[in-house]
Amino acid sequence: MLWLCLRLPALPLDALGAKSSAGMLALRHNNIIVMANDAAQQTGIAAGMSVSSAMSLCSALELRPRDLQAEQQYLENIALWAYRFSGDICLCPPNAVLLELSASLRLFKNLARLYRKFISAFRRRGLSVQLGIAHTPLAAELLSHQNISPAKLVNAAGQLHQDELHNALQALPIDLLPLAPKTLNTLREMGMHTLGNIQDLPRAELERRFGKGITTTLAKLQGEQADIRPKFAPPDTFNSQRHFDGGLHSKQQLRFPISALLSELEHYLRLRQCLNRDLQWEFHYLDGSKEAWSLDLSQRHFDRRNLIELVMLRLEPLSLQGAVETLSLRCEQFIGNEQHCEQLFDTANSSKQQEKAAQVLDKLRLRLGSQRCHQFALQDAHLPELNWVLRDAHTAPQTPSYNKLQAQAATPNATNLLRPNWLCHPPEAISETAEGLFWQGELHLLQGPERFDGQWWLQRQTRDYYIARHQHGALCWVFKDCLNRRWYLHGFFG
Amino acid sequence: MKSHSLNQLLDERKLWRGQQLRRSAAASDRLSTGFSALDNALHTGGWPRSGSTELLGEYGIGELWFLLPALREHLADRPMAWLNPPYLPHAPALAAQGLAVNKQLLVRPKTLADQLWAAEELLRSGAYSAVLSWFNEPNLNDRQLRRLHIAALEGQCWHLHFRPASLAQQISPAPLRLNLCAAQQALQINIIKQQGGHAGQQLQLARPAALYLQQSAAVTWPTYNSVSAAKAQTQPQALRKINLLANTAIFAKAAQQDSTVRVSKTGSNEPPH
Repeated sequence: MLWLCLRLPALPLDALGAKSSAGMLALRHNNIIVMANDAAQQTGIAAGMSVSSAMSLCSALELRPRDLQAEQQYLENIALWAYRFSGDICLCPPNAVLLELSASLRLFKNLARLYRKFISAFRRRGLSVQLGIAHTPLAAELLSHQNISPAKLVNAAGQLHQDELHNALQALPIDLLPLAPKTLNTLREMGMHTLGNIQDLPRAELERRFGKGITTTLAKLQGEQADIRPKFAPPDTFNSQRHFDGGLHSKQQLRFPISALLSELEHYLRLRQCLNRDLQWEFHYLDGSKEAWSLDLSQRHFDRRNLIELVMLRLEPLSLQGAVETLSLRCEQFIGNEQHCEQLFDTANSSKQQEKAAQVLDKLRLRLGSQRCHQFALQDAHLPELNWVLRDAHTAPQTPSYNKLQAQAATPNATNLLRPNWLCHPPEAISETAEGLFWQGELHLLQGPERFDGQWWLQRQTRDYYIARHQHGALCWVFKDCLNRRWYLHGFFG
Repeated sequence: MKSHSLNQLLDERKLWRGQQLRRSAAASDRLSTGFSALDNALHTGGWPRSGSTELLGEYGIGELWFLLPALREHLADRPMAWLNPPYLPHAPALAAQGLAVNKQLLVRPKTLADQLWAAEELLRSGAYSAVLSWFNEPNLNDRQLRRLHIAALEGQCWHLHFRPASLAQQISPAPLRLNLCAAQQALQINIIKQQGGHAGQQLQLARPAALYLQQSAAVTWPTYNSVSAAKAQTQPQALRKINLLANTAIFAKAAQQDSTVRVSKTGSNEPPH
C-alpha cells in the first residue's frame, strides 16, 4: 500500500477565493483570527490572536468570517479531482485528502510522472499544497505536515525507502499525533518530544498508563492494525457554478464560462461513467433576481464542442435582464454509459449514424420547438385519420422485435388495399355543382364505394370512399359522409 | 489529320468525353430506380445517391409512388426525413409499401428561413439517407439551391426537392431535374436536365392499373333472376343505388366505356357491405 496525503494548509482562504487579493485579509471565527494572508502576516498578525488585538496592530485589515461549509465543498472538489488518479480516496477534514496510489501506479507508469501532474495542477490553480507519502494513511497524514519531499522517501517504481521513512517518522513531533491533549501534555512533561521517543517505550507499559488509544494509534501508524476509513464517492448530482466580479453583460462573454463548466461536467461524467440527460442552467443577476433555463439532451456520447453550440443556440432567443453575476449548472438525470457491443460488420457504423441523428434532432428541436418535429407511429384503428399518430421525435433505441412485428403487420395489406400516400388532414370540403364534384377543378369518380363505418361508440362515422380523377390528372381519395351527405377530399394517390 | 489533332486535345486533357463521365458515374454512384424504362433514360443508370434532384410537378400524380423503390433501398441504410410536405404523408399506406414508420422524420418549420436552415442541417448531418423537401416559397435563388445541393453532397444524402412545374424554365444547380405530369393512366416524366449526356428524354411509367379501374354502373351488375322473391327485394335497392349515383353523373359515362369483361372483374372487386 502506498498512501499519498495532499494537505492544503491555506484551505480556508482558498475556499473563499480570496488568496489572490492584494490587501490584508484575515479570517475570524468566534472573535479569534483563524488565518491571515501573506500581507497580513507581514504586519504581525498571526492565527490565534483575538480580533481586537489584530485590529490594533493594523487598522486596514479586512476581516471575513470563516466559511466552514465552503471549505468542506472545496475539499470535496479536490477529492473529486483526485478521483481521476485513484479509486481509493478518503477525506481527512479539515484540510487533507488521502489517495491510495499503488493500484494506479501501473496506469501512470511511474510515480514521478504522477507527482509532476499533481504539482503542476496545483501550481496552475495557485494553491499551496503539502505532500506526505507513507505505507499507512495515518503516517502519510502526519508526514504531510512536515512537507518532506516524496522523492526522498520513495523511488520512481513506488517502493518506499524503509530507512528514510523510519527516520522521518521518528523525527515527527508528538503534537501532531491524534491523541487527547491531556495525554500529549503528560508525554511532553515526561520529556518525549518526538515520535521516536514514544516508539522506544514498551507498548504494554504505555497502554497501562495512557489507555488503549495510544497503542492503537501507534499500531495504525506502523501498519500493524488496519486503518479503515470511509471512502469518498462522487456525488449523485452535478452542481457547479462560476462567479464573475462585476458581472457579464453579453452572451458572447458567457461562452467561455459555459465551456469551462461543460468541461468540468465532462470530467465528472467520465468519473461516474454515465451520461447526462439534462442541463439546468441558472443565471443569478447582480440585482439578486434569478433566471433558470434548461436543455434536454438525447445524445449518446458527450461531445463538448457540439454541446457548446447547442447551448449557444438555446441562449439565442433569451435576453439577459442585466449583468450576470453567477452562472450555475446542475445535472440531475443520468443514464449509464451504453457499452455498445460492436459487431464485426456495420453495427459500429449504424451507432455512429444514430448519434448523428440524435445531434441533428437536438438542434432541430431547439430551434424549431419540439412540436414541429414528429415521428409517425401506427395505431390499430379503422378510420384513416386515426390509424396513425404523430409523436414527438425522439431517438429511443429501437427494439428489433417491435420492428419485425410492424413489418409483419404491414405486409399482408400491401396488395389488396388501395390507400393514398398523401392524407389531407383535416379533410377538405368538396363543393357539389350541377356538373359534378368540384375541388380546385373537376373531379370524376373512378371506382368505389368502399365503406368505412366505425367509431359507433363515440360518434358514428359512416363514409363511402371513392377514387376520383382530378381534372389535372391527379388521383384523389374522396368520401361522402353518409350522415351529413357532404363530400370531402381526404387524400391523394401521390 | 483531323483525328490526330483530336487525340492531341484529348491527351492534353482539355477535353473530356461525356461517355467516360457517364461510365464512372454509373460505376460509383447510382441506385436503380426500380423502373427499367427510367433506368435506361438516365445516363447514370439510376438515381444519384447524393445531391439535389428536382421534381417539378403537381401532387397526386404518382410523384411518391415512382420514388418508393429507391426510398425503400435508402431506408434500409439510414432514416429519411420529410421537410414541410404540403399534405401529411399517410404513414399506414407508406408502411404497407415498405417504408418503415419509425424511420421517418417529419419536420414542419414555419418560416422559410427556418425551413432552409433545417434542410441544410438535415442534409449535412449525414444521419439521413434521403430528405424530401418542399418550401413555402418555391422560387429559391441560385445561392440557396446551390447551398442545399452542396450540403446534400457533403452529408451523402439524396435531396428530393419538389417544386411547381412553372419553375421548369429556371436555371438550377441541381444535376438532375425531372418534370412530372399526369398522362392517361400513367406518369409522364420529362427529363429537363441530367448528368453525363443530353437531356430531353420523355417517358411514361404506367401506374398501377388497380387505381384506374373504372367501375361499371350498377345497372349492369349481375342479378339473380332465379329467385323471384329476391328479385322483388333487390330491384328497389338497385334503383336506389342508381339514383344515389346518378346525381354524381359518372356511372352513366362509365357504363358506355366499359366492356362486359370488366363487369365480372368489378363484381369481385366490390367490397361487401
